[in-house]
Amino acid sequence: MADEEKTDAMLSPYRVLDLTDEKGQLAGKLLGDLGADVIKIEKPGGDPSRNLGPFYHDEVDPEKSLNWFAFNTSKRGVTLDIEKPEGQEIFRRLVKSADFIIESFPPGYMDSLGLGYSELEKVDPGIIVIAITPFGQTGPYRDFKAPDIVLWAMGGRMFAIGDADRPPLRMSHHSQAYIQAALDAGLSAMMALNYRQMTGEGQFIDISIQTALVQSGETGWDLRKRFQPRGGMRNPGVQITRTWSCKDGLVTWVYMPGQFRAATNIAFVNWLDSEGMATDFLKEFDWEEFDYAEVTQEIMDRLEEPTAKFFMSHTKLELLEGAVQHRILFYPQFDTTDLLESVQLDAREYWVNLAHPELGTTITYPGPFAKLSETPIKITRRAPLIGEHNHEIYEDELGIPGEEISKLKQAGII
Amino acid sequence: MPQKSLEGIKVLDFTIVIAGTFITRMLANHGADVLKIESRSHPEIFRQFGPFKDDYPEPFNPWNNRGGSFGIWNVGKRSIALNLADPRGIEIAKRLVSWADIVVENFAGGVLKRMGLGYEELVKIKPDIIMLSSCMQGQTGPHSKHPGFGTQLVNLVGLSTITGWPDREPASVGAYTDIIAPRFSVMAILAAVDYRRRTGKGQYIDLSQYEAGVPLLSPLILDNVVNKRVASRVGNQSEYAAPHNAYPCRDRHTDRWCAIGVYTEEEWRSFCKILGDPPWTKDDRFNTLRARRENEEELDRRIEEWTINLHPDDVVRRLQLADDPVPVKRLYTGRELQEYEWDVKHRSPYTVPHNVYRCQWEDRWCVIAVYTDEEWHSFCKVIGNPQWTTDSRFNTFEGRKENEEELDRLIATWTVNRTPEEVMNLMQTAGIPAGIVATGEDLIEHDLQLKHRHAYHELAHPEIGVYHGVAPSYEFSKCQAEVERAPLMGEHNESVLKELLGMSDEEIKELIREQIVE
Repeated sequence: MADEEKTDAMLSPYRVLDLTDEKGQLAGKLLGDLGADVIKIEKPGGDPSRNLGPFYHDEVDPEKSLNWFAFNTSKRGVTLDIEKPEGQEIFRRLVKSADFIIESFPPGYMDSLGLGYSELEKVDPGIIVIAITPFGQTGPYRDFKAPDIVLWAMGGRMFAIGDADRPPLRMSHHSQAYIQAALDAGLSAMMALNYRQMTGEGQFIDISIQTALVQSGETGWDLRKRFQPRGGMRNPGVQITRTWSCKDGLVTWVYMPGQFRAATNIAFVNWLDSEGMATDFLKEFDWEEFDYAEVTQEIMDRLEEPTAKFFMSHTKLELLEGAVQHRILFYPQFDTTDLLESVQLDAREYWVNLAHPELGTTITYPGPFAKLSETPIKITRRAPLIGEHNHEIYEDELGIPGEEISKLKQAGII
Repeated sequence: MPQKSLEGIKVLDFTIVIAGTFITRMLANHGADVLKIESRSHPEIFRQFGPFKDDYPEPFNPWNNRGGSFGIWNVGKRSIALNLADPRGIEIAKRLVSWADIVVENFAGGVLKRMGLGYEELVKIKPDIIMLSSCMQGQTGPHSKHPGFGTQLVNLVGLSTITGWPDREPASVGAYTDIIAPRFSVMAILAAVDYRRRTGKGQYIDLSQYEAGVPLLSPLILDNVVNKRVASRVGNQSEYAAPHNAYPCRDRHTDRWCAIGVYTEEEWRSFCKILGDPPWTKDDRFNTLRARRENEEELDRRIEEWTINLHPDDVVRRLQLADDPVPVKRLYTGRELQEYEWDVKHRSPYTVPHNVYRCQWEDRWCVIAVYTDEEWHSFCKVIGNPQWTTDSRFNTFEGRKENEEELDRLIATWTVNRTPEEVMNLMQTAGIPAGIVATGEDLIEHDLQLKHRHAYHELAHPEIGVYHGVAPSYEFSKCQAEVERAPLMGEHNESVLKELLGMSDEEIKELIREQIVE
């Protein structure tokens, strides 16, 4: 275990060995941001997840994957072939110095190498091993293959997203299911750490990505015995607008019924009125009596017509500022450019710039996920290059002599 | 030896709705003693929300104990109901702070502070208290006080923008940030617990759900920073090229489309030539990629004028057979249009087929994703090697990718006569990634893996009857997670006041009579 006296960051005494692919890399990154010493262990030549795009200047290159950059900050990196005995020997030495191991291999893989929890526990009884797999280490689906689209489907998240007349949807681009599982890996590591502080014992944590989605959802089935239809509830005969065009994009706003929403509907109409855009019908509408089950298309149209005109006369930013000022419950639909230009994120100094000297540039990254009064979260370094810290860790820290390292390199171990 | 990983940790819980209650639920699942403070003046609105048993509509009542969502997100907590509009109620809350290790709240920015329960006050009562505030946009900055829900925050985070069909408005992703920010919160809280154990120091954690949501888009943000590319819903026109869209063709009534993408200037010149170099193509507004993207609506209208009179096959032929071919794809229906993967590198470069397929019965679906040639051969075998699988167009990965819409249509002719479970089992047995698109019923009643992991716990509730709580995704080898029913409103008033604050029966009666305890 590392030096217990080091207390400048929340997790500075602890070391994490990160063997994950894209299914779990966010976990190690976050523990690193919280101050842990995270060592990303890749197989010689680099982790296959380095092949995931998008890429820096669209150049397909394992050292230029922006996906890799995004989820591997605050880590150091070494290469190591844990399938070979010499590599396993080095891995065991690293385990002795570590507190957490996070891996995302198929169930049974680490056991087959003699590096399962039961073996590692003998090396270091305090070690906490977290394994992320699609369905968990045991059970009838444990060997099922499950990329994001399958997990999204079987985790119950997909069925409700989309339109009734079309198939269910996942979110576009990289996997959101993996992000949920990686967050669970990070927080369950902290739970196990608490247990270790009480007992001195480490343990094995088995994370199922399917269950990560399931635990954070509501089935809609439990008490109702029916599902929420895709596209949402609503009176089937009546069109209710959810997404509106504004001057430079889209904004989400729904006139919703219920006592809680009446206040925000009224505040919204008052804003329209202050700009002379509210009709008498809007101003006199009784929101307390508003009910989707009873509203007619004619009424909705009379509510929505001036609303559409109002939105079209404003930009996304004007609508955001107005919503904040009038305390109305809606936001415009931001894209990544809007995020990067957000006044609020700027005021909170959210973004961080990390130097990439080998690319001769600095890249702006999403910053710490929270502001802490005692121990600020810091994104300490850009993602490691392939084997960037081999010498620092193997030679300087483990004390493996230089010529032995050369031999290991030649044998393809590192 | 303790049986639970968070045994002995005491949490005072001011949270409401998922964004807050999920935080303390995770702590309760692993043995923390979570005491939820509820108040008429700051009601937990989930108490009034369905689903209700048998879908029976309940009258509006903030004291309702039968709200299904409340039951799911508040398992294993105790409840005390205090009048927080009265200074004496605040006083009791402060005494409970001295009992607690951790205080968690998710009111709009600054609300708890105005009630006299800000961190500066609490730290006077308990110097090493750990307090987490989670609100929409953080406790500082110009938007700090804006109230709201996850359903609206997902728009500001940019999740709506990247979810949906290219030809339609973005899909609703629900209150997605509500289930993300709590995970960050628990991680920060427990790291702070460890820090306090080492140093004796507590701290204040200001968590902005906005800032905890933005990392969901990290690779796309870097793509914008570095490559100036703005991510949108897959296939949407704003991503990599312009023109870059789906265009209606002749036979519009049968939903025929083609998708055209012009990436480079060479392709643009070639494209203009194919169109017969109409005068508008010389316009400055279409000179450069940037200009075309700025005037994309106009551009698309012009192109549509051309495509609308052509059969999609004709569009494809003209564009592909040009001396300098222009990327184009034919799409059969709106459905294929949506699932069409325009940028193979970005969406799923390694996978074809990769889609959602209709199965037997109403609104039943399965997903199939084939990555390798090996998986492709297994796939063909599973579906009985029909004649079309021997088509040379599907021989190679590139061929399958090229003819993906045709492939998807053929696959659907096979899936549509089978149940999603049958498809999943046949495929997975042969080593092909596939799964059912699970409904709530599937999750609770049928999924064998979730049964194996005891994901759902049947809970007996005095007012709801039987309902299901859900277990965490992480199974510990030495600690059992607990899932116990949610509390009734103020169910633990008496025991808390007696045991934690040492009040007498007389004092408690007085507080109830004065409506300080609600």
